[in-house]
Amino acid sequence: MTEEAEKKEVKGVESSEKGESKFDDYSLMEVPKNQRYGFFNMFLVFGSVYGAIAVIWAGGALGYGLTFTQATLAVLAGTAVLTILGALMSAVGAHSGLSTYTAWRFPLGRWGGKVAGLLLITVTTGVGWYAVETWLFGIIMNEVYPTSPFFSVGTAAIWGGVLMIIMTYVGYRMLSFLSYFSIPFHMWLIAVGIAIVLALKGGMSTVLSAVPTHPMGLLDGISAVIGLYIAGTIISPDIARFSRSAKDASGAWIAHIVFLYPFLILGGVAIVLATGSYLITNAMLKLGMGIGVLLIILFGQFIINTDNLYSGSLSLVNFWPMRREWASVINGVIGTAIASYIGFSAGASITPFENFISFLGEVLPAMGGILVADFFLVKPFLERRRNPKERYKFRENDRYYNLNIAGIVALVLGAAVGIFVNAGIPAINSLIVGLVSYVLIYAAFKAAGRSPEVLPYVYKGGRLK
Amino acid sequence: MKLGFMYTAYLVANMAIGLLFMAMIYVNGLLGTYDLSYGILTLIISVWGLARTFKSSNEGKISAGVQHSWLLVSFAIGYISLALAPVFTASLAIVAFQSLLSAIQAVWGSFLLVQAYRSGYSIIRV
Repeated sequence: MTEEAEKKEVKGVESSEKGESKFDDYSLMEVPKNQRYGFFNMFLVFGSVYGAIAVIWAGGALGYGLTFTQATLAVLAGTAVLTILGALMSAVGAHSGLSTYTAWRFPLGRWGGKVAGLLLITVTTGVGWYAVETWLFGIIMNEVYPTSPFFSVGTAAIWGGVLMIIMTYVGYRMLSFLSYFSIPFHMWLIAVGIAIVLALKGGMSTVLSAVPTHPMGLLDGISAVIGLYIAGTIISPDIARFSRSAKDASGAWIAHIVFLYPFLILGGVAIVLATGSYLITNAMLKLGMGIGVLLIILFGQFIINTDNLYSGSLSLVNFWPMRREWASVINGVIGTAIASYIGFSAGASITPFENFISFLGEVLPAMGGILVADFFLVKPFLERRRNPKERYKFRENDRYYNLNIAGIVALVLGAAVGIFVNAGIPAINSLIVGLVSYVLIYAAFKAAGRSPEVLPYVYKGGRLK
Repeated sequence: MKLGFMYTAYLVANMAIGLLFMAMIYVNGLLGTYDLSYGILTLIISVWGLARTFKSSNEGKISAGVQHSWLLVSFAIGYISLALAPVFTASLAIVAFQSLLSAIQAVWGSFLLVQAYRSGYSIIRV
């Protein structure tokens, strides 16, 4: 980087910091180098944000369809895909210092990045899954203390949601603090819980000889393993942008997913095969492990949902520039209202709502493929930007584009394949189609002597608009 | 007293605590296995922390001390929150002994972390 370019960049950062809230977390700009963290921080935040009890519950679904051996194969295959994709996505975050949705402005254009961020993350993760997780929090609290009105499903969803909003208001520092505080004892509680429940239900011999009640194919199992974590993988730059180096970010991603994810998901499988239910917390409650269960639920749900809301707030700010903490309040209030409404409305079915946000989520793998294609193939080989730190850089008075036709078309193609083609593994199909079609369309434009990027604008410095 | 020395003392004490927990293997049933596992974990974290402490400069000693103390405090909270569950039936004397050891880990470690924070060593930053 030239001296002049460095000065411009610093000037941009300084001017945008003036009058900014200390909770903004660089939502619309690159995270400065002196605000970044090392491997230890990255590993713990990744581990706690994604290594929560929800993974066991969701992974437990595999136990109904696969034997333990089949599940192990599915988990290993799915984990391999997520490891590679997440490491690449984390590297993008660390190199650029940008949030996921701000980075999407490069392969999709500014308008494309805004709309995709709103639909794929604000609606799904920031409000949708946040509401579902808050509602689940209310249900579990009610199971732990069924007679107290303070712990009724609706009431617990409200006070739990409010606490989560407060934590998200603070931002990444709060995520870090929660992670440091909770991840070691969280993992201990979950590991001991799984071990004890299994020991009392016949041990591994029971697990290995158990037959699933609703058999499914191995490919479906792999698809489920990938689908469960694909959203977290695609939005990993939200965390990785705080990393000092791409090596730290990718290393932390690989370490946490290799060491934690298979253990959690196979724990869920083993519990289902041994007990017939994926609710490890219920089994632990029956054994009198009440305090431990409460801690697991409290911190597990809190952290994963704080991250849901955090990513939702970043994507909302990207769509409509505002203070990030206000965006977290807006998303949080809507999500909490939905969760408490469902909680208070006895008999209300959440299935149509879950199906809707799942449908939107099916587009995500294509977006992952497009970002990887743009950052690791198009930018260095077609645009000749070899230095990864220079590939996604907003410079004052430079020209950028509102639409990238290659990205939009590739996203539509990848999403269509993910949604309508059931052969193989839909998430992988979508990802590969997004990746390949983006490169091909971009190259075709270049070969024709044109650019797929249209509607230029000039970046004036400071926070992005 | 220097922070680096205080952390070293804490880690050495935790080595002893880890060995004491491991000695509880002789308690029958699940509790013996639980204490053995926890003892091994404590011992590994302490020895690893001490190794890092001895290899580091003064500032590095404090950073390593903060990281390993944090791990020990967090695991101690996890340990005690399960150790009192009915599934681990044990005599009152054993429960009191376990509680005392884990309380030492948690309180002493927390005190050191507060001291480090006041000296500019934030847990998140080290």
